[in-house]
Amino acid sequence: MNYAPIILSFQLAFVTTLCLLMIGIPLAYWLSESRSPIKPVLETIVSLPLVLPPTVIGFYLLLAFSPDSSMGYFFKNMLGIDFIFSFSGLVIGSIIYSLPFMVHPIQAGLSNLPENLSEAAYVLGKSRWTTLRSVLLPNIKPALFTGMTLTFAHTVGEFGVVLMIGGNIPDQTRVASIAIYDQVEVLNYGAAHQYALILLTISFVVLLLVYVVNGHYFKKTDRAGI
Amino acid sequence: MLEFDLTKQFGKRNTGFLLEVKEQLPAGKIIGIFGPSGAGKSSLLRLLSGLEKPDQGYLKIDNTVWIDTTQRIFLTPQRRSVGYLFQSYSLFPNMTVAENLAFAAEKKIDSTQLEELLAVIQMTNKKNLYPSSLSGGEQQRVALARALVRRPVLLLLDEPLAALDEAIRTTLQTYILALHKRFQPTTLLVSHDRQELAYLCDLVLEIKAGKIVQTGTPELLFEDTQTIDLTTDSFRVLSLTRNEDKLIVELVAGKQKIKMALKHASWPALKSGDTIQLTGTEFILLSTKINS
Repeated sequence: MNYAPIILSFQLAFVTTLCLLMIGIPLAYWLSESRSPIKPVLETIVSLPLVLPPTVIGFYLLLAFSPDSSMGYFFKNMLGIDFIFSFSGLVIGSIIYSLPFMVHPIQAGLSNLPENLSEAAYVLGKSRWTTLRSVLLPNIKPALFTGMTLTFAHTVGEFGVVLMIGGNIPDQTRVASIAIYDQVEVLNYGAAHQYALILLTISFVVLLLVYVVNGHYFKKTDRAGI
Repeated sequence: MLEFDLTKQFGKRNTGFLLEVKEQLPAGKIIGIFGPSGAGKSSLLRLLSGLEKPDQGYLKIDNTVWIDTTQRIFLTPQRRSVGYLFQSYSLFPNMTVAENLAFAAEKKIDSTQLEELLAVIQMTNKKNLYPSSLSGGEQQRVALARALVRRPVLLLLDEPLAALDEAIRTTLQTYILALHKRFQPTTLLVSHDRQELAYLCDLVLEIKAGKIVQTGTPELLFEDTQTIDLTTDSFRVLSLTRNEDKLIVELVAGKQKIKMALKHASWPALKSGDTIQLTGTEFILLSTKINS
């Protein structure tokens, strides 16, 4: 069995989770605090990947990053980055596709914290950044954990977006989900089964971990009366 | 001197609420704010702290301008020297008592200052506990000390004792007085409890429908009563004056304030803040100490 697609899936999931953590925290913070009229628009954009077929996202990313488009031309000729049929393209696609899985749990965690908590920090002279880093984030650890694990698991299971933007290049863009599809196409059900079982086990373990950790945390905070 | 003239429309013009407040208050005093629910008491504190922005007006404390809408000056809460105590416990759950106090300091907290604060609020032996392990009264004690770490010139107390039972309230009132005596910030205290306001405050102001309707000594809190309602559960000792072998005691309960003489010998340890009960049988009035 060739483990490269599995390793690539994990690499993609790891990089995507890391990038989304950096993008998702400020975005979720803004959404949880903002009273701006554009907030519903941004919330809709964040949630779109939940309802859109992955091929639609993949298709538009393909158009956006193709060398014929101005954006694709800019990245390829000015910065030397080609997002089509490359790992970096997979990362961009995965970030967009998994965005709600990171943002929604963090936003919910921040919104559920008492408003007094951030206000108490502001009147103690603490900046918004210090308040977020030292007060808010440490008190939403389960939400952060949920966001990270769901993003990781969702990215590992991606198919449509990665196929559209990355194609099926061995060792470069052929992730585990695409490898399963490949093996089924050539009627090699044994190999497909191996890949599928690994993905199934990983997804099960990750979700189990989320429920066990969060269940343990809530039991602890219930006892403490928080 | 704390001076302000602030206007803020909350919500829509027709259905919302207009706060229009103007006052000059002396520095270093405890000033009580009372009035019906929804009159704008907490909104006033939020405007003074910078948590809300006024539509127009100014706010000056000890000749430092915090708000002046004509000059587009608005200092954020971070840039004001303010301590704020909320009704609900707003200690940071991820930090211990000592960490909560240390976090409030501008730079690294001086260990002597930390120990002193812990000693004043009698929490030295609980400094490494998290807020979830503390009682409501203990949490408010820590929150009060934390509000004073930066030595603010203005301390805002928004019904800080409302959620606590009476015995703990009485204890916390003594902590408020002790900490105020130690740091002397100009203090604004919102409370519905007239006994509490009378006991703690040098001045009181009444707010009704978004406007300050009167300001004066705590006498404002009470109606002149010629009769005593003995169905009242307990009276709070507001002040005591010794007159030869008698104690002239001022007692308050609700809007009643009465003065009575007690035999000094029978009440050697009675002090201001104690709670006593009056009972009447025909023409003989008996008084019993409940707690202190």
